[in-house]
This record gives sequence, structure tokens and C-alpha cells, in this order.
Amino acid sequence: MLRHSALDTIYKVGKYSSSKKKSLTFKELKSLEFLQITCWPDKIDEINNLLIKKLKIKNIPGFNKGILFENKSLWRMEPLKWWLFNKEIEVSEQIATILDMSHAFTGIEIKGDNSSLFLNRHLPIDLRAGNFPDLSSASTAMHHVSVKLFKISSNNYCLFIPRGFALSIWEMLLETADQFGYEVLER
Amino acid sequence: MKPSRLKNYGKINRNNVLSFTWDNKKYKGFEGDTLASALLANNIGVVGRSFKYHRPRGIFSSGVEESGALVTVGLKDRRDPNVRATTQELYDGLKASGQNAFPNVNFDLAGINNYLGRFFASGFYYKTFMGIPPFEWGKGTAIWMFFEKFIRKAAGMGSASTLPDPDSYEHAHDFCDVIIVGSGPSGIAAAIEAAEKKLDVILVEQDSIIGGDQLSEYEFDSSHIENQIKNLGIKVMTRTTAFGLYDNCVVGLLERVTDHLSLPDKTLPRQRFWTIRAKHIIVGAGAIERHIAFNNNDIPGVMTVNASKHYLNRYGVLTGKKIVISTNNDSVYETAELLSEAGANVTVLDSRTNFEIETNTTFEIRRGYVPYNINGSKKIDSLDISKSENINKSETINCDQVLLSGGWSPAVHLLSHRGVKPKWDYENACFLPSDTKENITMIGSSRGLWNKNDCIASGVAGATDALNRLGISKTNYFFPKPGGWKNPIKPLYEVKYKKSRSKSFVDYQHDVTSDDVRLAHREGFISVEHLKRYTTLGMANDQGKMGNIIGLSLMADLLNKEIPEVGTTVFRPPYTPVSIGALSGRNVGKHFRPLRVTPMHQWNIDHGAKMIEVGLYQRPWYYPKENETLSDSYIREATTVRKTVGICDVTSLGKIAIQGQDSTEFLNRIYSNGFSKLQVGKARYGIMLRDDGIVMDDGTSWRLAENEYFMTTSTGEAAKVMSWLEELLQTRWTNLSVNVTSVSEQWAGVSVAGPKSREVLNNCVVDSSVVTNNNLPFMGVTSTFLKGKIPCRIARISFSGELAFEVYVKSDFANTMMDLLWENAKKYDGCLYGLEALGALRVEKGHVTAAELDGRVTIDDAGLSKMASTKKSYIGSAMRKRGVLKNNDREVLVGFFPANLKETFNAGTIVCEKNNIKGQGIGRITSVTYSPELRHWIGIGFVKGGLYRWKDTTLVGADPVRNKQMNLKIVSPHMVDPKGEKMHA
Repeated sequence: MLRHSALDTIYKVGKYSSSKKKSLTFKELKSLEFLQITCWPDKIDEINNLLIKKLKIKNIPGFNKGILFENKSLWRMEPLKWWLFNKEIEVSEQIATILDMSHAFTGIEIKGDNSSLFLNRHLPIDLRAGNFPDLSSASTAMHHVSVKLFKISSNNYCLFIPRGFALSIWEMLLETADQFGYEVLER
Repeated sequence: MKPSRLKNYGKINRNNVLSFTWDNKKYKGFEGDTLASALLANNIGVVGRSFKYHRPRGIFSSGVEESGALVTVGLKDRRDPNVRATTQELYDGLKASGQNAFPNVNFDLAGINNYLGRFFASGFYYKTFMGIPPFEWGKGTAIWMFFEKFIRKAAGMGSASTLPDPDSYEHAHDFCDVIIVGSGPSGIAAAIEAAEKKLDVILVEQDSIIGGDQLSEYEFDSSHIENQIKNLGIKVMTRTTAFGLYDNCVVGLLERVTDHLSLPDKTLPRQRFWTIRAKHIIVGAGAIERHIAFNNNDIPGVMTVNASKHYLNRYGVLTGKKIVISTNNDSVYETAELLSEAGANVTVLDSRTNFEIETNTTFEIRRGYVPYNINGSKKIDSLDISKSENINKSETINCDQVLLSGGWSPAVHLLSHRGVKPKWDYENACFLPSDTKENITMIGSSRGLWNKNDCIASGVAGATDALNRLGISKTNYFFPKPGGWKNPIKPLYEVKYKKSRSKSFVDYQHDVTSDDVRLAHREGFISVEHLKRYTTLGMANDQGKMGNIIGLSLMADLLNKEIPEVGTTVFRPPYTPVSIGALSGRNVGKHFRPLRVTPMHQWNIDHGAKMIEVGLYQRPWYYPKENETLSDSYIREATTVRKTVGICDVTSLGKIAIQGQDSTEFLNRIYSNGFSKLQVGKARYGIMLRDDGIVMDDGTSWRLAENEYFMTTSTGEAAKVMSWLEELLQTRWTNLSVNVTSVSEQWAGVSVAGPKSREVLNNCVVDSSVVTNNNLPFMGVTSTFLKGKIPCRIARISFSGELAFEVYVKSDFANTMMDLLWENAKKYDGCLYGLEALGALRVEKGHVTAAELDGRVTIDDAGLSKMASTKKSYIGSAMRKRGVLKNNDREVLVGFFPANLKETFNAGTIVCEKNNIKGQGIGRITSVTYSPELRHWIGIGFVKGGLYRWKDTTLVGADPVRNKQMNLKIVSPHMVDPKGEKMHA
């Protein structure tokens, strides 16, 4: 089934700010697939064990941390809430509830030498390595819109914007990116 | 005064000559100049006119405290008024002009004010123009407002451009262990010490290069320090002013990114508004040299002593040839020596008699002498001086410049922003910073240290203090004692020559004189806060940097008190002005607010929708065909829906997933009507009350599974309802196993409404049997597939009163769904309809929205009493039974027809009895529309007692805003298909 992204009308692949070195790249994450898992407060141990078993992972990520495995990832977004990417899972409703949120967000991969500097033009988050190491996540706000930020590795981030605001935030991001020089990559 | 550029002085780049214009005349300067230094080098003495008296003003300082050389820079949409020439870097092509003068600052017609000055004392405007003496003619606000515009025009400063600002601005955030404000000797020492101890350090400097006061030293070269700082990994932010300190070590800063560039890079913002969160703040903001109040102390050519040193050694400009320096402290002697060495004839008047000074150069020192009057108008001709012990005219000195130093005031402004009151130091005649428990350390001359070695030592101590407070070290340290001069300062604030009327200025920027302070005292404005507001002392961008201490000392003298007993005003942010553009950042134009669109936004536009903002959402308003007006269009759309079928984007409705074993119990508690028996595969309309019994919101909840619901809310209340549900689960009902998640963005929804809607859906779903009347009865819900295997949820719900369905698909499939539905709707001559037609349809049915549910309406007022369960307890169930909410005289939902069906009315019309048309009347009309079905205007709203009290009475609709009045008939709010036969078809 063909999915239409929130950015379809304005997503223009190419290099911008020709006079500058391209120190940023943007790429929309195509056909996002993820589930939200919300467990009951007294079922933390059960959900941990279940996720370790079903996902075949060694450890459960701590709060605001994530792990990558194969082409999948698991992020603990809130004390009782996880986002599981690219993997179906079934969990007893006695332990947790599951919700498909794949269409609720627009995911943008932001990479490049100046990506932290660039993100701090909008986000009041301390992105220094000591405070925000690789595989960290944060819930924050951009232009009064609640967004989620994942740090995959140094200078490599994923930003998740509520779908309805993605068009507007994308425009603002590119306005700011102009001073750094940027490239929009194929999705 | 004939300043000249000296060959072997200065840190300017003489290889790069810059052209600029001042009052439309071309001049030359050099890279590294400020506008002020370039003007001085070009022998331009008069650069402004004063605020009130329009007196000629020159350049008083070399920094942010400047209150004379306020100029306008740029033209047209880039015209920037009230720029301090002393901080504006020169660039090629800079265009600057004087302000507050006509035709120009050299000859200003309003200069007449100077001669009428005795009438313009503090409070003159208010005393005079709020009732013209002698008969108090026109007393009151009206007459003041009449005169105010003339007064403002006469007294104003520069004028801002009225054109849209073409520049961009941005916000930015940063974080560090220690932020150091000021890159003077103490700031640099602190930065190096902290960085060597492995702290993450940001060093902030408002100037274009680091060095602070060291830039006024002949030998100082900042480049080797820059290298050292760079090697230590210290982040240096030049051209950046820390304008305010806030809670939890948050610093507000303004970076001037392109204000110094001739051809700025268009991708760069003009200014950047930084919010930096540090663990510790070290302030080495320096100190500001004070002037001395005496008659005509504002004539162009008057300057602070330290400023003259800066112009000499940084810009290579000797500001005078025959210079008199007036002082009461040791700080001037080095400058006197330098100026003398540079070729000036220097005389120092020191108000002290017993002191020892060692100098290498011969210049005259007049011990125990003070100035009391400057002779001249646009330039200094001579200076009248006298013995300080007995102020009588004794001598006149010919000179072209008068340099003043009445002492130094540490820049405690930033600390003051944190509510820390400075303490008066008698020994140094200045306010010093008090201690604070916050992680803020003051260093250098901002803590009253006057010599460089002490400043450096304080920087190291400040860094150690930061390390200790951050728990990184426990090292002993000490700050040098305030002061550092060989001879004590002798307080000198004003020299008053009693035989003549004087204009001795305390605050240059607002033309506040010492006589104004005395007038304030006479009239009872003796508190410093009253003094400030009565005289305007220390207001605007000066913020008391130069004149505050003098004003306080005068008031203390008048009250026979000491300065600390009089107190000081609180310095507030910003330390220096911050442009509105920088405050706004990128949140301007179309990004003023975040724009929210539905997944079929572009689809709607491509199909002719005119959009309207509803909250943050862009929603289709109407879909005009060729030449159709809004009215034409929505009437056609609503008619089509009633006749065949219409499709409307309803994605903006709030959508909440409710999951968990206690979901049914949860809904039963939050809705006024029962949900415990709602079957899987059915939806129910529900009303939520607030705790106080008033209606909060309405919507539907669909039972998708035993423990799973899909709730819809009104568009405007979606966020509020979501927060409310979370609050209830987190605070009141923590034992309920329920998860709520906003899925507003996950699902895109349309309403397919009209007698042909089922047939349209029949053609669109994979299995047409799912939408038959049997399988999908009124309020039935099904999860199925649209053609193309698009999973969807369909509920048979009607807002229009027609046979109707709401269809939801995951957002990325919205366009595909729209293509499919529209292709089939067209076969039945259907239409796309927007918010305007939706409104018409629901008003015909008497369905309420936020226009009716405005926070005052009960469930009974809305005519929905049957939905209030008597068998259970729910939010608001107790409070809705209060007597005041059960009063028979409450306003109840009704329908309105104009008595004359050809007439119209508007929402907001007040409903009155015929012989009592006044005040709030007996009701109000909340929503109106032309009814395509009834073919006349209709409305819904509220009237006291409701339909049965007024059904046979003609009431009056009063619309004083539009100067309209009409007779009204009260009818049932259910004006079309009251029995609901259509939607049950």
C-alpha cells in the first residue's frame, strides 16, 4: 500500500546553500513502523523479561535510552512506555497495552558535523556527549510542538515530529539549516 | 576640539579603509573603528540632540554606557534608531545619521527648548497638560491624550522603521559548566583556570575582540591570548552581550551576528538570541566610570577619562589638544600621562589636596580644584574652575576637551537581576556586589578591584570558587580586597555654583539635572523608586549606568542621609537593549504559530478548498466552484449533502485511544451518561462535565474491543480533554488499569453524509455487506478494509442529521481514501463540503459546539438532561445539582427565526424583551446560518426559561455593535428533521 508522507509536497532532494560546505544532511524515514508498548506499573519485571525473550536482546534499555538490534530498535520513552521499531509483538493485556503509532509521527534523520549545533538552534536540550550519549532519547519541544529526539551516534540524530506539524517544522528546520549548508537525501 | 588620528597608535587596520556616511556626507574610517571613533577622527563633535532640551550632544564614552551618541543606522526597512555609536562597528557603506533633530543635529529648530528649559522641569507635562492652567481647562484624560502625541513627537528619540523587518533572527541554546561574562583580565584568568581544571567553559564578550579594558593599553595584543584560549577548548562568544541572569543559572545573551558586516551572508540571521544554561556563572563585567555634575557638563567635548584612553590606544584618536581632566581619584593619572605623551596639553584638576602620585610626564596637577562651568555651546571654549573648598569663580582655563572621572561603579547589574542588593562601600564610594547563595561569582572590577593584578587574582579565585561550589575541588582561595588605589577617593558628585542657574546633568540620556532631583525632593518623591519615575533618572537603555549614583548622592544629601540609607533601584534585564526581532526569533510571519495540517491538506487544496485557521489547524472552509462566493458555495454544499452526499475532512477532531481492563469503568466515570452496557461494535455520544457541573466537552466513544475504545473530542478541546484524562488517572484513580494515548495524528477522518452516503461507501469497501443497515445500524462501528486493502474504521454517526458515516484510516492512507471516496461520490453528484456548510447543517439540527459550550452551560441548559444518568456517580454529578444550576431562570438552548423571514441576524446578538432592550437582555444568539433547507436565516442560542416560556412571544434581537435590531421568534433548536428519521434511515 502506498503511504503518503506529510512532507511529500515539499520534500525536495538536493544540495542547498551552494556557497557553503554541506555540513548537514536530512533524510525522512520512509514508511515508519513502530508500536507503543505501555506496561502497568506493577508489571515492569514481566515486561522486561518478555521483551528480552521475544526480541532476543541481552538488556532492556534504561529510561530515555535505546538499543539497536538487527534493523530494529527499542526505546524506553517514559518510565512505563517503550517504542519498538520494525517489529511486531504480542503482549498480554494483563502486562501491557500495545498501540500502533506508525502514522502519528514524521521521522527525520539529521546527520553531519554541525547537527548538534543545528539542533540546539531549536531544542533546549544539552546534547553534549557526556550528558546525551549515543542511544539516548529525549522528549522536548520545537516551536511549542512536542517532539522526540533520538541520538543514534555522534552527530547522527532522529527527530520525530507529530505528523500534522511536520510540514511547518520542516520548513523552519531548513530555514535554520541554510547557514550551515545542507543536503536533503533520497528517502 | 580637533581630534586627530595618530600614526603610531591604535589597533585598527589602516590597510583597510572604510567609507561611511554621516548625515549624508561621506567620510573615511578604518577596519576596527567604531562609528564613534570614526566620527571623532573626522572631527565630528555634535552627534546628537538631547531628549528634552535638544541640547547638542557629543560622545561621552567608548562603551555600552553611552548616552549622548545615540544615532540612527541604516535606511528604509533597515533603519535602526538609538544605536550607540560607541558600540557600532564601522563597516564599508555604513549609513548613519543624527536623530531627534530638525533639520539636523548641528542646527536643530527644537533647540529653542533649551532656552525654555526652566518651564520643562520634571513633571512639567503632567502638571500642565492634564488641565491647562490657570483654569484647569480641559482637565482629564481626554485633554492629556490630545496633547500626548505632540509631546511624544517633540520629546522622542529616533524613530523606528514602519516597514517590515527584512532580516531574520534566531534563537539558540547552549550548555556549559561555567560561563564567564566579560573577557577583561579577570575573565580571561578565570576562563583559563577553569579550562585547565577540565571544565567546559564559555567566555562571553560584548566587544568584537577579547581583552576588555586591556584594549586601552598601548601594548596589548589579544591574538596570543586567543590562541591560548583556543588551545584550552574554551568557547569564545564575541559580539555577544549577556543581558540578563535568570533562575537556575540561565543566562540570556544577544549575539550580533551581522550588524558589523557590509554585505552580510543572507543565510545568517542578523542577531541570535541565546539561552545558555550553565552550572556556574562568573561575572567579570567590569566597572563604569562616572562623570561629575556641574553646569554645562554635557557640552560636546566632555568625555570620561577612560574613554579618551580607549580612543587613543585602541583607535589611534587623540580626542583633544588642550585637555582638562577633572577627578577625585587616582585612576586618571595613567591616562593623563598617555595623553600628554601623545601630544596633548593636559591639566588635571583633582578635588583632593593631600595625595601622592608618581608620574613620568610633566603635566599640570591642580590640587583641590574642581570645574563648575563649561563655556561653549556646540564645543568647549573654556572651563571655569574653582577651589573645591570654596566654590567661587576663580579662574577660566581655555581648553577643547574636558575629561571627567567622578569614581567608578562596578557593573553589578547582572547580579542585581537575581534580586541581590548591592552594598555601599564608603572607602571606594561605590556599590559593591553582595554575596549570593546562587552559583554566581563576581570577579575583577565588577567586585570593586581597581588594578590589573588584583583583577587577575580575582579571576583565578573566581574559577576556584566555581570548582568548589560544583563539588569538584575543595581548594582554599581568597579574593583581593576591593580598591587598589594608592590614595583614597574623595566623593565628588556635583559641583554647585550657587550664583548662577545651572544645567548640571545627572542623567544625560533623559536630560535629568541636579535641579530635577531637588524638585523631586521638594515635591515629596524621596524614595529612590519615586525619584526614578518622577524624573526618569536611569530609565531606558542607559538603565542608570552613568547617572544613578550621582542622583542617589544628591537625594541623600537633601535628606541628610547616607547613600546606603537612600538605597538603590533594582537593575532589571536587559543590561543593554534587545531588539524585538531577536525576541521573536524565527516565530514570525507564517511561523508566528506552529501550523497544523490534516493528512489530506494538500488534497483539499488541490480540490479547490479555501482554508481557514481553526486553532492551529488549517481546515477546509468551503470549496467554491467558478465565481462562487462563500455564501453561494456553502449553501450549495449543504444542499447537496441533504440531497445526495457530501464528504468533509473531520481529521481535526481529537482522538484518544483508551486501553486497559478498566476502560469501561473509566468512561463510565468521566461521561455523564452510562457506558457500562455499551456493546463491542457500538459507539455512544457522551458528555463530559467539569467538577463544577458545567459541560466540558462532548464527543463519541467507540468500543473496538472488550477493553479498547476510540474516543473523539471536539477540535478545540482535544488537548484539554487528553490532559484531563491523564490527570484523573494519575491523581484520582491510580488504581484503574487504563492507558490513554492521543492518536489524533495517527488517524485521518472524513464524514460521508447524505442520503447516498451508504451507496458511496458500498462502492468503496472491500466487503459491502459491512455497511448495510443491519450490519452497521445507527451508532454502529466496524473495522474493515477500503478497496486497495486499506484498513479503516467506520462508525455510523451523524453531525449533519443525515444518514452519515465517519471513516478513519491511518494518516498516510488519507489521500488514497479521499481519492476513492471522491471518485464514488461524484457518481451521485456529491460534493466536498467545508466547515461553513458543516456549520449550517449542524445549526439546522440544533447540535452544539464550542460556540454554545462556552464554559457557562450545564447539561440541562444544553437541553441534554436525558444524558445525565441518575444511576451512577460521575465527574460533576454532585455539583450539577447545585441550586444555582437548577434555577428555572437559567438560559436554555433554543432556536431562533427572524420574525420577518427576509431579515438576517448575527451571532452575538443579544436577545431582549420588547420593552426592555438593555444590558445583557434575557439571552444570546451563539450560532447563525442561512438554512438551505428552510430558505431563511436561523440561529441557535440561549434564552432564560427556554422555549416554553417564550414560544408565543416576539422578542427583540439587539446587535449594538452592528447597529442592528430585529424581531425574533423562539423555536425548537431542532429545526430540520426533529425526529431524526433521516439519520436513522
